[in-house]
Amino acid sequence: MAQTILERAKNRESFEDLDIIDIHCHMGNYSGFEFPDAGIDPMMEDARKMGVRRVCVVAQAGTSNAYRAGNINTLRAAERYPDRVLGYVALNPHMAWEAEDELRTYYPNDGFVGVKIHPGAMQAKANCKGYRKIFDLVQAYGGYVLVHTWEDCPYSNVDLCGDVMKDYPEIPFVLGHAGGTVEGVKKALRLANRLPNIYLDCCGFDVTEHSLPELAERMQDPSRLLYGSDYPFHDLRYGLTRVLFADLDDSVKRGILSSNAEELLRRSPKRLKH
Amino acid sequence: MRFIDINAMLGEWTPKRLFLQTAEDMEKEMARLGIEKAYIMDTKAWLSELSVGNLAAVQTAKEHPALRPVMVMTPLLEQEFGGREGAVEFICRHRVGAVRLFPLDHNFTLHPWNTDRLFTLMSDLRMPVLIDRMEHSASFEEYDQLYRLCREYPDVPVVLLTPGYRSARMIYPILEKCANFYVDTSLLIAYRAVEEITACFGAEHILFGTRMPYLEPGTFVGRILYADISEEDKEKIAYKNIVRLDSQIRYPYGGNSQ
Repeated sequence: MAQTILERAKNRESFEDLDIIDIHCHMGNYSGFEFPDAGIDPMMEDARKMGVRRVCVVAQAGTSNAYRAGNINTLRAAERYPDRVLGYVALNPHMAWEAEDELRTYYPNDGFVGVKIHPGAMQAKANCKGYRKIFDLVQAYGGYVLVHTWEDCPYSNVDLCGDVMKDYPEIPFVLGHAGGTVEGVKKALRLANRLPNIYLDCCGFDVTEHSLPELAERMQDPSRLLYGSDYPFHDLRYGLTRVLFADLDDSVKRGILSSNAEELLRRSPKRLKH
Repeated sequence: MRFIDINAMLGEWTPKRLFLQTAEDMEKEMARLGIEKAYIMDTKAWLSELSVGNLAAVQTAKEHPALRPVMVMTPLLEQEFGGREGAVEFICRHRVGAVRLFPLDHNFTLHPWNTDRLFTLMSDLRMPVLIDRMEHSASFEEYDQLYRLCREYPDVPVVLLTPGYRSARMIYPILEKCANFYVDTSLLIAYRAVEEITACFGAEHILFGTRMPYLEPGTFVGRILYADISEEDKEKIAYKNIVRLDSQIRYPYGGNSQ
């Protein structure tokens, strides 16, 4: 009888065979607090050791006013690790008029899969005009949107997300951190159960107040629950071991780690090509 | 690999329904993950009634050999613990494995002018003192107090629980300067933090702690199993450091720790 994922994890095996996709990664260091050098090479080294096949990345600068430099860094990473690094185009709601140029520059590259927005870092509400302009473009050009969410945040809380995401039913939205706080996760679950275009990722420390089996059980469609690590704010192994060691059936773990994200990618084709 | 968890708790925690409700649930989860022993407090001692919670923890531990009781204390030995002798008697009778402090929620400062009598007792007993960072607001001033306590009571193992992934700039200097300062693994989740602390300050400073059932324990088991450190260092973190601290506790009554 084949070993379970838990048994294999206890034996410290690598999981290359699962075709794991990490839906939520950053890249590079951050001035706010210290951690070791976190470029694309050490990230891919950790990913290789654990058997994570693909990582979805936005470079650190992408969540700041230097977002265009961030997009260049993301492109370099995708080119350095083709087929293993998938990029997000970072966009700035305060400069929404630049968004179309950025999408036209990066979307034709097969290494890019969607858009990452961080309303908290950009200090712009998730339902503001700038983001609506960006979502109009995503609706036209395809891909999906990874959104940083945190319930205590006046820019990225779940209510604001729900207000705007209901207006774009064709765009798959991934709520990064699934709302963040205890209350945020509850709201994110309700939103995901109400709108079929809402996905949740399971990284972010307050999320861990909810056990992963509980999240999977309460989602009416658990195929919209995704593995993300939030690397390098969190170690890539932290989010991954949370899934590997969870008290869940292996079929559910395989979904969270791989097939749910595969389906998201299939569901989100880009309509801007070379 | 053996695992001994320094940071676990039982009891109610409003508004969240925790995913492990009873000692039996906890033992089942520990067995599933290969955690041999857990140091538990009862959340009543934190959130409602101090003495009731402490009695609940020792009673639970009596009935569940895989659980070791942790006593929640405050600086007021005379008024709340029957004086120094009363505290010592409770600790010895119930083989308390550590003392846990909640300075913010229990309304006291950790500054030595307030905690000197408590820490003098802890020093005499060589008792590990667990300080809860998630409750502890961890302002810069509170790190100052933590540092002073470590310096003034070098025989007290001071364990900062759940240090958080943004804390390197505060905890690394204390790790460098204080041999008696420890952190647990719960939320030590910043990129390669386990590896960096081990390389810079030694694995002796890290204790395996999960904060279950508030957090899911499996992830921290996995984080150590998959850490890029030597097998010897993994064993120190997983259980040897805790066993070493436990062996140093001085119980005036009933013989010393096993």
